Amino acid sequence: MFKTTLTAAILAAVTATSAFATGMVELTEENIATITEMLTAEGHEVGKIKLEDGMYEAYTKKDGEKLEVFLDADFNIVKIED
Amino acid sequence: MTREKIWDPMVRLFHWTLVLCFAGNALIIDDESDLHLYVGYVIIGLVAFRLIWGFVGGRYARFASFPPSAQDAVEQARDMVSGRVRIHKGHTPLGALMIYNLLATLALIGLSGWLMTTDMFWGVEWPEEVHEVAVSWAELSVVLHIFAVIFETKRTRVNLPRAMVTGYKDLPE
Repeated sequence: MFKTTLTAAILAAVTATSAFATGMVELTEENIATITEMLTAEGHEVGKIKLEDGMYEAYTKKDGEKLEVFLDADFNIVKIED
Repeated sequence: MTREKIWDPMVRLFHWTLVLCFAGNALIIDDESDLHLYVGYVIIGLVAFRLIWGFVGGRYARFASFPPSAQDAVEQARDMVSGRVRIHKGHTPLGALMIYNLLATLALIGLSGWLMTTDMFWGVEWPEEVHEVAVSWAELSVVLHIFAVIFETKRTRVNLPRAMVTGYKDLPE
C-alpha cells in the first residue's frame, strides 16, 4: 500500500517535472539559436525574438512580408501574423 | 485680479488630446495592437500641428513668446526656492523648456515607433530600445510637469490647470 502510494507520488513528481521542463518558455541563447535555425531553414529572415503571452515571438521576413511567428515551448509554430 | 485670455482653443484641444493619447498608449493600450499604432499616428499629427501652431497660432502659443532661455529658467528656479512671485502670463521659462523637451521626446517616440513597423527595421532591436527609453523619459517628464504645475499654482496663486481648460488666467494686478 505504502509502496504503491510512494510509486504513484514519485511518478507524479517525475511527470510534473518533465511537464514543467517542456513547458518552459525561456529566452536562452540555445533556444534563440534553435528557433533561428528552424525558421531560417523554412526560408525566414529572422530578426529579434521576444516572449509574448507565454510563447516565443519571432519577428521575421519571408517573401517580402513582415511576419510575427509565435512558437510554443516545444518550438511548434502556433500562429503566424503578418 | 484681471481675467485674461491666454490659451487659444487649439492649444487646449492639443494639450488634452495629447494627454488622452499618451496616457492611452503608454499605460492602457496593448502595444502589440493596431490601435497602439493608430494612436501613435495621432500623436505624431498632434506634434506636427503644435510645431506649425507655434508659428501661426495665438499670441501665447507662438514659440516667439516662449523662447528657450537658460538664464530665465534659472531665475524662475530661484523664485521658486525663495518664494518670490513674478507672474508670467504665458508659458514660464521652465514650462517652456518642458514643452520643448516633451515635443522633442514625443517626436523621437513617434519616429522610433514608426521605424519598428518599416520593412527596413522590422525585427531590429534598437528602434524598440530607443522607443522604450524615450517613453520612460516622457513619463518621468509628465510626472515632473504635473508636480511643477501644482507647485506653481500654489506659489503664484494662478490656477494653471483651470487655465488650460478654460483658456483664462486670473492674474494679480
